[in-house]
Amino acid sequence: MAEAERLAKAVTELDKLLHEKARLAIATILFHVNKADFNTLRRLLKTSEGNLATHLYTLEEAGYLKVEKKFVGRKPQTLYKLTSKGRKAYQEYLLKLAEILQAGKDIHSKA
Amino acid sequence: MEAREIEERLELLEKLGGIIRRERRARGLIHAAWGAAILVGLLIFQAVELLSLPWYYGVASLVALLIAAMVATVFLARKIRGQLGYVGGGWLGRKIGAAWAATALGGGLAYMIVFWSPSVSQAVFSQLPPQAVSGLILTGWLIIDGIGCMVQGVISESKAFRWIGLAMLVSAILVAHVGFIFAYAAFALTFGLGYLLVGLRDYSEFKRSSEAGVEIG
Repeated sequence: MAEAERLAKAVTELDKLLHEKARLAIATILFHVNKADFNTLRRLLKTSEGNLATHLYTLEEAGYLKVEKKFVGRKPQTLYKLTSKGRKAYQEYLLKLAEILQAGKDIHSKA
Repeated sequence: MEAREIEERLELLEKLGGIIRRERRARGLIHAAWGAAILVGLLIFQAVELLSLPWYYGVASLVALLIAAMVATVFLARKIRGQLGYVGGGWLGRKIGAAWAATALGGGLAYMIVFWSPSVSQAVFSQLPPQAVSGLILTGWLIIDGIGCMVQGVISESKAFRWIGLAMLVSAILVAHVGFIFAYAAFALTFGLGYLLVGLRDYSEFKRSSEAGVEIG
């Protein structure tokens, strides 16, 4: 019973914002590469421009992501980077995911 | 929430992590540049020591090669950024950087302070000829950088870097028994050659990999 409660608690504590597949993928990339531009994110995540832009905006609004604009030669470039809040949220999300897996395994082994 | 949903997230994390790990191999070019500079620079230094030429020949060529590697890093990083859209960094880069700072900077600084303390340096200089002293100092760096390499191998899950680190530690023991004057060749043939070969291998693996991305809908 304790495992079931632990599982339910971990599921409710999962960061809903990051649990969305596209946003989780964006956070994963930025966690591993530090900074990436829009085209790189599009290359790694086969999705439409509109969809990607919407999810980036959602993450930015939540304070998980910051945008840096600069010029490379004459071309403007927009770089995306996780904030420390975003990095912490991502790491906590992974820990919760591991907790869910462990609780699921415990329930399975007792059944 | 269904179990399938969690499985999908795990698959996504694994797949993206795998793609980024493969793409990070593009940095092999930078490792190869530093490996080549250290290999050639220290082999020249070894020749200078064995032929008893003025020491500044060795220092000048090593410094020139390291500066060339530094300049090459800027260009190669630009090339990689052009290919991938990013160079590196991120969680793994920060961990590796912190590990190197702890071993090479922290350990190296402490080692140098201990080495140059009056009692140690007096004992060393009274027992060893001047040529062997610089070899002894370099042997200490073989150990420190060997540990750094092994730590990098553990963090990045790279067997190659763990082997380079181990080779450096073994070569430090050999140098201590054979003669400190051979420390330059030992450093060149472990760290330098190791980074050069692993770097070239990583880059060629990166060039061969073709996975473009993941579908997120």
